[in-house]
Amino acid sequence: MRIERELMRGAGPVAVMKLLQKGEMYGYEVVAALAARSEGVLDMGQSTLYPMLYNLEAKGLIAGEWREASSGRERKYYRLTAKGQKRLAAEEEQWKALAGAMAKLGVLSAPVREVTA
Amino acid sequence: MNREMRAVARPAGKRAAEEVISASGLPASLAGVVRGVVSGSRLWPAERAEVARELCAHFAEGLEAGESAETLAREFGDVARASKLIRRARLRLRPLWWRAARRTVHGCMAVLLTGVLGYGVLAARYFGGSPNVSRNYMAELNAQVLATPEGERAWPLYLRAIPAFGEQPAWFDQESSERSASEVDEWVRSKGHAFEMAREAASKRMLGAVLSSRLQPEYIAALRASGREGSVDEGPGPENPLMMGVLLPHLGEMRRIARYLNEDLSLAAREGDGARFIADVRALLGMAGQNARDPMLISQLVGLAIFDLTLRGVEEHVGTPGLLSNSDLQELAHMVGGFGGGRVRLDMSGERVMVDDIVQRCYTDDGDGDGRVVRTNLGEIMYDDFGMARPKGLAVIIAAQPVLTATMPGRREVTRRLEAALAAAAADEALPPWRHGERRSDVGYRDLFESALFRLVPVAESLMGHGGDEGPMVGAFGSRDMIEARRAAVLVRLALELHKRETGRWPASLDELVPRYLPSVPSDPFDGKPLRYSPGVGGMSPVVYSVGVDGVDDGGVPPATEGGRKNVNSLRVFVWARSDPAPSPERRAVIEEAKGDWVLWRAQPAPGGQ
Repeated sequence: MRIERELMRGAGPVAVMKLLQKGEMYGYEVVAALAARSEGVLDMGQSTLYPMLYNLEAKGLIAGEWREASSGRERKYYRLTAKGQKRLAAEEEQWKALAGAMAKLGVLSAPVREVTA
Repeated sequence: MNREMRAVARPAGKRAAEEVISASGLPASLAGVVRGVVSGSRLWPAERAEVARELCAHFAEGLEAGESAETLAREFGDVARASKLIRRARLRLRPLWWRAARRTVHGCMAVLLTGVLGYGVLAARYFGGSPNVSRNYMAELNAQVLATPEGERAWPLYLRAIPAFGEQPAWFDQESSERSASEVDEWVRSKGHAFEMAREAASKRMLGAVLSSRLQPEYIAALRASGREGSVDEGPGPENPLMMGVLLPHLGEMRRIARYLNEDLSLAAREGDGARFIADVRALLGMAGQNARDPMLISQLVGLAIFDLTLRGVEEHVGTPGLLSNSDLQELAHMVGGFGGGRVRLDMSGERVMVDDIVQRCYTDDGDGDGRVVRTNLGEIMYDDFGMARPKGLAVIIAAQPVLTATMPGRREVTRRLEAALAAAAADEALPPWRHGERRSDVGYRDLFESALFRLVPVAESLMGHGGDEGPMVGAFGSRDMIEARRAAVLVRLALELHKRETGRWPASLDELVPRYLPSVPSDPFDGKPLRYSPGVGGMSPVVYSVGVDGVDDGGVPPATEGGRKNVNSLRVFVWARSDPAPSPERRAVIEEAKGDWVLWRAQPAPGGQ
């Protein structure tokens, strides 16, 4: 299932920041992780992902750094900044409130539980 | 790692994106995707290289993970959309100064664009409409003239008198002190036939000059026949010219002939020719009346000037021994007293015609009295008609007109302001001179011109100046009032002369003249009370006077200085003295100097007393 673009515009950055909360990742890794962990729901093309990463970087929510991996390949690793941490926390609260409201309306079948990695 | 992949791995720096892509060793399909994204992003070279580097790394990871090039290309998504989004995101990563400059440029462009669009709208409104010139005011005025048989019109007769008077004599422009009296007298005596023609013309009730924006052929012919080389014949001119550009050459001719007549009047007085003196007074009053009845304010002012000239001539010669019989004096009193119905009224209908004509040429007409300002060539017409050089950059001025006129009132509002100003003028006109300070009509009239008409017809501003700092209307009313005061003084003088002749003495008071010699004692223009009179007791000569601008009766003693005597009857100074609570030091000095009475007539001391 693919998510509507407008919905994705709100959910995508939160999902990326949540992934980076656990540790730094490079672009391809983010794409793969999103596809795997959301069972394809948040599977976004790279044409969407990279602009999203640049936007988050421009806002200071994530920071990118080129480094050589153990494989010898140069990768640009992204990590969540302190500002990003704060924003993520705030966004999570909003998503919980939204999900709770949607559950009460019967849009969601069960109350949202804390997402754990 | 092969050589290509190591090249990709090097920091991009300022390396060109193409170099990064080429060095990546990606399959052509994926290299094409990267190339398409970076070229479509229109970023700086270093930014493109950075993006290319990351995308190349991404695809290299995918290939290494076992995905096919086709799958990776497909999953990448829309290249054009990626270019657009990446560009937008990368721009946010640029330095603050660049983003600020970009925002400033965008802001300026937005302002410029808004200005251009705004100007476009205003220009479309201004240049897109056309006025509806439905009335030919000149033709309407001329129709009234032409409806009168030529034999009852004065102007054709004046046109015949002009050649008879011939070239302008040398003494005409000389100060009276510089003139040779014998030379003037000789010239006057040589023009007897011309004076007869002028008197005949002056006997007609209607002046009857046909208006045109060009000099009429008959007038040009008269000028040439007189030896005064006139203007060239410019042809008939436009059929419906701007009223403000209509020529009034007859006004100058009337003033000229009036001055000739005044010289003849003076000579007649010195020669003791009472009949000719009376005939010249009648002719001068006829000329004054012909102009005073014209709807144009400027013509009425010329009429007043001729009336004033006549009054001075009568006043000067009333007491000339042997010149005038008692019946002559009575006739003069009737002529002077009856001029203009007893009080010259100033008619503003011509001013209305002028403004209405401008409005119809500058505004559209919605058929309901309203309309907006649109482009006309009124300004150019004015420059041409008045023989003025067109200002430099006229094209720029015209281009700016849509903006300059954007805030101008609409046709209905301009008409409303005009009517309000004319109604105020009519009220002011009726006020007596001692209430001159209450006259405010020029404020509205000037406001009308400054709000609208000056912007359309720049030349109009110079025409507003003929009333001095009081404005054209209030200035004209004040001039009229002072001439009326002089008329009152002349009537009193004639009555005094008759009284003296019949009783052998001057009266003790002006009340003695009523009703046999005067219907009533005229009012003092500066306080509305009866004119002052001192019978000249104690060896003093009798004197008729007004209290003057200071309003204080000084017993007929005028201001001590020439400057004071000049301003003792100035309504401008009167307003400063009476209505200005804190006059400036300069004005206060003028007011002080003008303290004293305005002596309207003082008897010459007779040898051996009265």
